[in-house]
Amino acid sequence: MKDPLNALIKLLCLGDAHLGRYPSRVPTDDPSLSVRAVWKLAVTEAIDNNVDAVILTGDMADNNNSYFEAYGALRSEISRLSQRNIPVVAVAGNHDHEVFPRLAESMHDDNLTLLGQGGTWEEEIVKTRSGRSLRCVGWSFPSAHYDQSPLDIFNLPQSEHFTVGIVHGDLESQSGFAPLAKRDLDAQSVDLWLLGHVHAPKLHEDYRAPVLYPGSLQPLDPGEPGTHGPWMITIDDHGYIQAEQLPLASVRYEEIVIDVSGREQVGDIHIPVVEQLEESTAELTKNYPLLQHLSCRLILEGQTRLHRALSTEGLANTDTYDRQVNECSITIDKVSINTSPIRDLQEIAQLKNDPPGILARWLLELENTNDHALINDARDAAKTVYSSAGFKALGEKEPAPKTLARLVNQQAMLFLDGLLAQKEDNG
Amino acid sequence: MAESLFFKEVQVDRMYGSNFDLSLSDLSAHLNIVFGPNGAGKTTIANALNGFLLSSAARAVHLYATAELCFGNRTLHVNVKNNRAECQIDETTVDRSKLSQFLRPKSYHLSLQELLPEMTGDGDLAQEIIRQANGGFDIAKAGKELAFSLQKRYNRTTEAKEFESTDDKLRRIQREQRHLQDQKNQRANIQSDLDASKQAAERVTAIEKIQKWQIAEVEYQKAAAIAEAYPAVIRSSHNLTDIVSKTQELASAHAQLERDVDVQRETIESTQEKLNQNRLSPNGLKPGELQLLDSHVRDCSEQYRELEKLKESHEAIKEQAQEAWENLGGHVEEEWEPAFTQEDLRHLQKYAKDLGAHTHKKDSLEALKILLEVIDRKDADLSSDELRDAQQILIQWILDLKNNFPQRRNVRTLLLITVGLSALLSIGAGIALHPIGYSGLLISALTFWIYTLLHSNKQPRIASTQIDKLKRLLPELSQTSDLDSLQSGLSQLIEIRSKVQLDELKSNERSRIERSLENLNERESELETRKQELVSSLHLDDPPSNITSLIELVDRILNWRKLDRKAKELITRCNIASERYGALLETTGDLFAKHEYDRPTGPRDAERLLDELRHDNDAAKRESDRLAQEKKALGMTQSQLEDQEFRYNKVFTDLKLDIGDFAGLANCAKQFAEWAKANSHANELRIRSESFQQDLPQEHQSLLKTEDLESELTLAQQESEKEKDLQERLTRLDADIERAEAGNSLENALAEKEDKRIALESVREEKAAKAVGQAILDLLRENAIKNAPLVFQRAQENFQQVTDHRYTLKIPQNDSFRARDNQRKRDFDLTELSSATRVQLLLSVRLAFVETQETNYRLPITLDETLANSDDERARAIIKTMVTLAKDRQIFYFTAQQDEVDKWGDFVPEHLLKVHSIG
Repeated sequence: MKDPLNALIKLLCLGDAHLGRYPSRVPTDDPSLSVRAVWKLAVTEAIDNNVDAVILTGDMADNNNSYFEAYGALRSEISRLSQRNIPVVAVAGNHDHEVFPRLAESMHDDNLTLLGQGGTWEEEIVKTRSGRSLRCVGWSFPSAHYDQSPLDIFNLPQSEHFTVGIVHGDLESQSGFAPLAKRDLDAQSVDLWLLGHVHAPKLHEDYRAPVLYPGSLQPLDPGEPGTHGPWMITIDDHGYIQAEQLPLASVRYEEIVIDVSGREQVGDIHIPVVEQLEESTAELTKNYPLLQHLSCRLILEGQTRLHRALSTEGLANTDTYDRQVNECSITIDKVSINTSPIRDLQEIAQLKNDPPGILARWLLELENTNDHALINDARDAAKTVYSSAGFKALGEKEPAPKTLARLVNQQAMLFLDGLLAQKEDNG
Repeated sequence: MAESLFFKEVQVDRMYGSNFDLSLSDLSAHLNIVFGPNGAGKTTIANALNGFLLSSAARAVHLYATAELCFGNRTLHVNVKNNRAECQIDETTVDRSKLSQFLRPKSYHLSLQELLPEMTGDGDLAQEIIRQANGGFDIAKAGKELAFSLQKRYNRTTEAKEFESTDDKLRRIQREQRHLQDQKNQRANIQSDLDASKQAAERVTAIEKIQKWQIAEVEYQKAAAIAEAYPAVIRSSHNLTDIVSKTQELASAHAQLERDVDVQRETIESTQEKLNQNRLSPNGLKPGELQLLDSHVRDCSEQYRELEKLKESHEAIKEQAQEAWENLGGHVEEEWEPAFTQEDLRHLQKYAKDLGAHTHKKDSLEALKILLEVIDRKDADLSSDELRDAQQILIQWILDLKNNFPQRRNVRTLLLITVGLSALLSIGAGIALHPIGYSGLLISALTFWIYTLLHSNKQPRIASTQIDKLKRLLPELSQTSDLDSLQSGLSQLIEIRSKVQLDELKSNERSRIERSLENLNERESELETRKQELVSSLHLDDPPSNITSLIELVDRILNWRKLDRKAKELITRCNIASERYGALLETTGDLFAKHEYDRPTGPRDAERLLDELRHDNDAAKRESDRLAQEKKALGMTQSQLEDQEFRYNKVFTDLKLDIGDFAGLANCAKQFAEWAKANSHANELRIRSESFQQDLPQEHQSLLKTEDLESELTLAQQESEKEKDLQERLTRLDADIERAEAGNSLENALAEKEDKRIALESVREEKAAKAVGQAILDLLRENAIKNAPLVFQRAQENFQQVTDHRYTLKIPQNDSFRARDNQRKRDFDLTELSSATRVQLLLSVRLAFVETQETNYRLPITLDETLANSDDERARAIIKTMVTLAKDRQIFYFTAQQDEVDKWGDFVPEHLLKVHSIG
């Protein structure tokens, strides 16, 4: 049966909400900053826009809190959608592979469809309000890990209907979370892929069929900067797809890079930093009126003679910084000192047997290799810290190589600067 | 090995700006002790020695001195004069630059003399040595400034404790939720138990109901048996409770009914008698008879009133006719019928009217004629009565014309004529004198109006349209073009034309009047003929000549005839009415007579009789109805009487008693009361039992067959007692689940732990950074030291030498030297070594460093009271070390203590030692 003409399909797509988890580094006493609050907003948006279906791409619940709090939030809002006859089509992710089947079983109506339980591919035909048929094919995580490509077992036949593929997985990666390859996605007769797992929202349009990662609904930590929220997808009767992100997230993490080159005093940096911060916030709140909290990570960059002072003393009053701009509260999560001293390593390396010369040569060598005595010694030293009683609770025995390299470089540069300063200070 | 450079003689002349006379000579190439009290100049000599070896030091102290030094087989003579220095080698003056081979290198800032007083301890000394070995960079200091540190262990910080605390809290919440989840998983079982318990409770209720019903049924059966024991006659009776009193009441009611029957019979007889006396008995008039009679009586009255009215009218008309006849003055007979009619009268009236108008018109024309003649006569008497009368007639005529002929143009024409004539008169006699002179005023006003019209602001319009019109009316003005000329011309023309037109008008009017008068005369003849014809048609013997009188006579005759005829007509109508009235009265009398009433004599009598008949009729009907009612009541009373009698008898017969046996009746009543009570009780129990039976639950019918209900009840009760507990558990569980689902305690705990984790990680990274920094520092120091091997090789050699190979110097660690005890096979750091070994080690290192800084020659070393604070062992070690090391180097030791001099003497061979006393 042919679909009627001029029949738009409207879908609200979201995933990786991790309900049950609260965004880190933001005040915990504000319910409006919770994931649950944004999830409610998204459902209200779906109802107000009278969408044909809500698509959930997995990890809606966080596995650390899936018994009740995430479960309750999911159930209440899906019930609200049921009352408005808005179908919900979902797949389970690595976090909620256990909670979603439980939820689907407890929901007595058939408004919630969990596709692909047990790691199989499954399809569901959704009848849209305009009378068109939308085919959803999906695969759910059977367990917390799955290191095969789910597309290896894709076995559904072709269909005359517009087909949306829903899967929670890692695109172009060999991780243990359902790795998905471009060629495999392109090979399937699917018109639109809606994926979950990656928290950074992104629409890949260089694939045969568009691939959308809606990203986390509400950013959960400073590693998830930028705009977040559900996506409104419109599909016209020619199969033309429009995807628009709805910036409903109430929390935003931002990295603000400030060049401190040329600054002579640490005190000169504070005021420009605050000004730039509040200016950025004002701009953000103008564009995203629902924004209620901005957690900033300041990154100081540039070559400066203040490098050592900044590295050892930091930037004053950032821990207690708490301001409101257009009803949006601002906190400074962290100040990263990515500055460098005004030193020429190549020149210093010429100082033969003097310690600065040796140190400069090592730093230059580290630019090209990680297999260095300095790294090994530093690792041993760091291990002592990591594995001691004071930090055992964190459960790591040594820093990650990248962290270690950063620490070595950072401390070596500081050391070098300190040594050279000895003679400069003495005239 | 490099050669030694040593002082042979020294002479200090001036230093610090002061003159001195200090000298040392015959100096040993090995060990020289300069002994002298404080202030003797020991330090001055030491600084001077240093000044010879370091030019900058010489400048600093403003040194003026000479010295003789030996190296190899050669002699160097130096004469320092502050900034300048003169040098001779073997009597040969050499360039200053040549001195550099002997002097300390720039980087060589160390001397024992400089170092020892400044150092607070051996550690500081070691550090300084190492620093210098590192090209002047103090690695340790830099690390310290950056707080580099690597501890053997890191204890729990506040952040770690907070993190663990939040982790504990999180675990507790997670445990609670896991527990709740377990309970949730068990919910179905609880629900199932609850359902079973509820069913048991229902079974308990059912069993209790069955037991209740069974007890009630037994009680009922017992009561029913008691009631059944009474005699059938009592049980079958309806109600004997008040049977005695009721039977007595029946008896008294019976007696009362008998009395009522008697009274009713008397009433019936009395009513029947009244009816017999009524003429309309028994049922009054038949339907319609009363209405008929009433109609007849009313018709009689109306007919009678009409007759009386006609009679009154006839009398009045008859009197008017008589009066009209008498007014004719006896000219006619009473029965005369004239030949003329009203039409003839109207003809006469029209003739009279035409004649009047004709005469009036003729008079007016004649008056106008007279007026015209007066105008023509210039000498006429202007105040004559004739003229005044003519004017009045004329005006009156005009006014009449106006009324009769409302065409205003004609009136205006006549008025214009009148006005024109009057104007002429007024011109001739003057306005004030002539009675109609006011007409001249009108003409003047007319002229003035034309004039003002021409001069008004409507002049342009007049100039264009009105002027054209005027020109058309007045062709004489057609040659005049300008407005002023036109106005003046117009004024003249109005005057001329008025006069000409008036003359023309007069002439025309006069002709017309003449013609009219002729016509009027003809008309007058026609009227006279008509008059004669009319009079002759009246057939009057002596008709009046005056037309007015004639008309009046004719009118009176016609009026008399009209009244007379009307009187006769009324007499006829009276007769007819009288006959009709008589007939009506007769018929009415017949109707009354039919019911034995008198015949009425007139309308009033008829009405009286009708009232009487109506009263009789009502009475007959009323009494008749009452009679019927009374008879009916009597029948009913008799029936009741019989019924009462029957019931009374039945009471006794039913109870098989003799009639009137009230004692037996009382006994039966007593028994009945007892039975009724027992029966009622049995009924109540039956109803109760039936209601219990109906209340038995259908779903538990099987229990009715159960033999041991008590056991079943006990079991069910035990089961049902769990319900409350289970229900509470379930409610509590649901509330807990709902609270947990709506809550965020775990979410907050996770967030809190995450924040604490980040804080702890931050501390760890900070510590790790410092540890990494320390690792870098250690590696750098190790490498730096490795890059200065000569110093430590030499130091090791020295140390081994001075300790007779008991100890070996280890590479410095942590800013300190370490020594390996070769005998004990163990490493010791400085603090662990004996003070003697420690000083041996330090001096070994120090001298090794000095040696490595020297380029070509071994330079002298100065010691300033180094043994002052040393115990014997330490002093011995220093001396022994210095002796060992001084074998190929010149050493100066400055002291003010004799015992120190002695100590040196005890350990140093004589050929190596020279003591120089100063001061």
